[in-house]
Amino acid sequence: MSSITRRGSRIWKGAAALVAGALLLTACSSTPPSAGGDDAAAGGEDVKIFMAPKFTGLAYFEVAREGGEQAGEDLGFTFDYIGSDKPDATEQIATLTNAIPQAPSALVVSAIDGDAVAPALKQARQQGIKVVTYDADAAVDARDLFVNQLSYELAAQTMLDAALLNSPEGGQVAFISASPSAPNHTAHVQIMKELIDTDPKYSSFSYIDTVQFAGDDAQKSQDIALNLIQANPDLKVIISSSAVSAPAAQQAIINAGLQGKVFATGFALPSSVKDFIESGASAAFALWDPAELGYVASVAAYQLATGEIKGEEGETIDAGDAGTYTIGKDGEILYDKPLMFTAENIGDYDF
Amino acid sequence: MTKTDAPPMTPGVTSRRGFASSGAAALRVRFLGVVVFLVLLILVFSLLAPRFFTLDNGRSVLFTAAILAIAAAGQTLVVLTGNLDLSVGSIMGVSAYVVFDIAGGAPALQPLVVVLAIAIGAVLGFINGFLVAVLEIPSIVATLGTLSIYRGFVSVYANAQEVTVGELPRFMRDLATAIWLGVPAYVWLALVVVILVALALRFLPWGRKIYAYGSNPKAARFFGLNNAAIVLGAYVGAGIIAALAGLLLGAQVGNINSLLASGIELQVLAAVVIGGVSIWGGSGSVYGAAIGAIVLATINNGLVLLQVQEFYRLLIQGAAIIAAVAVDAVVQRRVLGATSRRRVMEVTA
Repeated sequence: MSSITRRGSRIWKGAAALVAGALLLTACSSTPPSAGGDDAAAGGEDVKIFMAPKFTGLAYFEVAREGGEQAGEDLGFTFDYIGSDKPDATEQIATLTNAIPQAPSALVVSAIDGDAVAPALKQARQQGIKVVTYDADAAVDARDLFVNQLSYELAAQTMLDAALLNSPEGGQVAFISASPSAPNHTAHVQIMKELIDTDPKYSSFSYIDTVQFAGDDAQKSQDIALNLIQANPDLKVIISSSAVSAPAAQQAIINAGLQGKVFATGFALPSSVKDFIESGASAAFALWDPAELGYVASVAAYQLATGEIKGEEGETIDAGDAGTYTIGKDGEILYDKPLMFTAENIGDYDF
Repeated sequence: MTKTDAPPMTPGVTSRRGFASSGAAALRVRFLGVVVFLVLLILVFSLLAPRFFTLDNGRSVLFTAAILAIAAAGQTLVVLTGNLDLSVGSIMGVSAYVVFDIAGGAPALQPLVVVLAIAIGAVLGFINGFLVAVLEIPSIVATLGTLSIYRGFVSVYANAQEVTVGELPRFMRDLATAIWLGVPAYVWLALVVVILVALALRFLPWGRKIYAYGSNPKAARFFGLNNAAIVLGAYVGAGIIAALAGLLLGAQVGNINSLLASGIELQVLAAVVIGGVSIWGGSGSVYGAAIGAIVLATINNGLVLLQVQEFYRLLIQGAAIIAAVAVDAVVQRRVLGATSRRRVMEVTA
């Protein structure tokens, strides 16, 4: 082989590697920020709000995003949706850190790990950026407000009510959470255990103490569900706060031919459980309206950014048709509108 | 190219010769090793968890192992050439989402889901093979790149939507729940894939060349084999098998989002390595990889039965991988030692 052709091929290979590298880089930042509200900045004030879900690519957060975009149109602020498509705290920290130099007026964040993202959020607040959490809270001193979809108590009650609709005679319950660092999931399970121990309404239930973690992964949720069923012959209901795990566990039950004997329930998008409920495999799943939650959180962020509210206890937020909310202790706003999906109403929901 | 039997450099395919070949001996020792490990695991779990050793639980373990075993069979092809395919989970995700999304929108295409998946797998596998074999990018870098690119593609394609249970073709959903002769259909399918891959590796020139190349790439070139074509072929095969595994996984989980199967590459590689396929290439069997998948499923199942938490599962899985590779290294050294002694004796005689 002559040295010229060898060099030529080496250059070509180098170029190809560069192209591959460039492709890789584009793929890493594969979620372009949406320009949803660009045309709606009619208010004249340059309010720019970034919404950062736990991670992009999940239908639940996409519905919440629609609410945020709607708020942008209604109130006339620029709305952007930012995030990584990997369910990983490090990725979210990078997303938030990169957002700060773009100087948004406010961040609306669902924290994948409430403590891990706190330093990034505090840094944002030091730059004068208002921080509102929704769906999953961060450390209290890292944000101005938290729009809580359901108080942890109400969430726990709602899931147990859904469990009772599936298994009216009660029975043994097992829990699947996303991760031990998801504060809302941990609190839900803790309160459900307490309710089963103390509330006569739920005294027909007993529970398996060990909580399993499936990291919002459908396949892992299924494997865990199957293994839980094998481990506990008396298992009646699998409950999960994860909108991925709950339907996946129900599908695993159907796959194993155990529908009607074991049930999975918890929080899930109506579109992903419609088939289970219509076919009678499941009697009930629960959730809230993520779009309205995203709307309320974005309105709260807007009012903080414009100085209409300071984020102090007792102030009210008027979100129009979505309702009026009062700021409670520790900057918490309770949205508190649970939805129970059953055979009667599942056809009414389109998200 | 002349047809070569290439005995000295194909330890993997010489089982016909029995124990006369030390390579085959090593392979059998290693395969026996993982089987013994599995039996020990079953013994320990049976003693600790009374519900472990039941027919129902066995069926459940095999079901959770089935898709992993299929994916591991595909990965074995690539690992045998001394390379890796880290993009396996992304290929599974692309295949499941894209195929079922297309089939959901056009019911006429529903009977063709398998063909669609094979086409997608072949293309994605070809891209991997091209990067590794033709552009000579180290496989760990190339497939780390495609892991990201393929996942990025499905993220953009899915646009944060889900393919829901109701949109899946009826026969695929039925397949996920079917029981044939008392065993889940997925387990039979996994068995068929593993046996087909094993037969292809043993009897087709395509397969024999993979072993030949993996044992000694330089010698393979010397024998007139087209190395790039061999590696490319292994990646295309692995891509097709990964896409089929993705199709089955999609039907199993029901609601498919763009994150399906992300991170599964570590499980797949763990199965392959625990199953005794040498990460240096050229040695190991697809049966071993399948047993490796069953080992992982058994560990997962046993630990849930014992109410052990997730973190310990990762610890134990990691320990099993290191133990497997350590055993590999020891066996290889022993065998190498034995062969070189024999060679010395032959030479002196």
